[in-house]
Amino acid sequence: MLSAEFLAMILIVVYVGAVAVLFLFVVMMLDVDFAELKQGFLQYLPIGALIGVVFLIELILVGATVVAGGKIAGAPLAVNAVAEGAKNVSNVKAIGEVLYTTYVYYFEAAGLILLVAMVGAIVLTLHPARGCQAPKHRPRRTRAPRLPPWSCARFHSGRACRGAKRDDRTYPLSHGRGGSCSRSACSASSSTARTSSWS
Amino acid sequence: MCIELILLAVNINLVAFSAFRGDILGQIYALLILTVAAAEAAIGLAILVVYYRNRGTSRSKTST
Repeated sequence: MLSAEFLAMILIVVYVGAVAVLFLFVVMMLDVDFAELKQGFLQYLPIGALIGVVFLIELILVGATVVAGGKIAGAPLAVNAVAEGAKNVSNVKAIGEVLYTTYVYYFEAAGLILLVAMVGAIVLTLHPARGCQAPKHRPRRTRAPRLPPWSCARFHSGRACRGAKRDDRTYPLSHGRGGSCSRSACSASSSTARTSSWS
Repeated sequence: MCIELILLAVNINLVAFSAFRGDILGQIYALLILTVAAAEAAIGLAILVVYYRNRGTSRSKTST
């Protein structure tokens, strides 16, 4: 290791915390066809098993060498002469001593960037909830109520809200005379309905 | 994802050069780049969630 233990640990923590969650979201949202995936998996299983076995053998060999007390053959790591290594100071202490004194403004700028990213993510995610909210308790009806001819729910139920669920048709949007009805309100209601069924 | 990979490569480069030069500034800089990468990942995740909410799926074929 290039005497950068702190950075290595931080990298692992950040990438497990953020990027693995990002991957999980992508896998969850892409409606993956699992049968096709399984077929491909079975198709490439022998090659993967072969590579896995090779890596396992290498790992066992290296582990046996280290356990036996022998040094791993190779260069004796001439990069250990980092400045903090010469002073017998640990890597974390060296980073802290420099980061919180000389580069404290950069550190605070990094914190500001994280804050802006958090606020931006929350604003982006929370935006459609401000539209027309889905009611909390929906009475289950069996037949569609009679809609007046000016109702926008009748107009929008077929074509505009194509992505909406089918039972949205039975619950008309309470928009009054239909003057304030727009496409955005309709899509907002459908999106909130979808998220309520999604969670 | 590509930006993540690019930033990770830059990080590895910075750490290696900092080790070879015996200077800890490279590791500080790598830490700052790591912050930027995490922020970018968070924003990407938020954009993905909004995209999924607007369309029923996040398949890019349907968005053309």
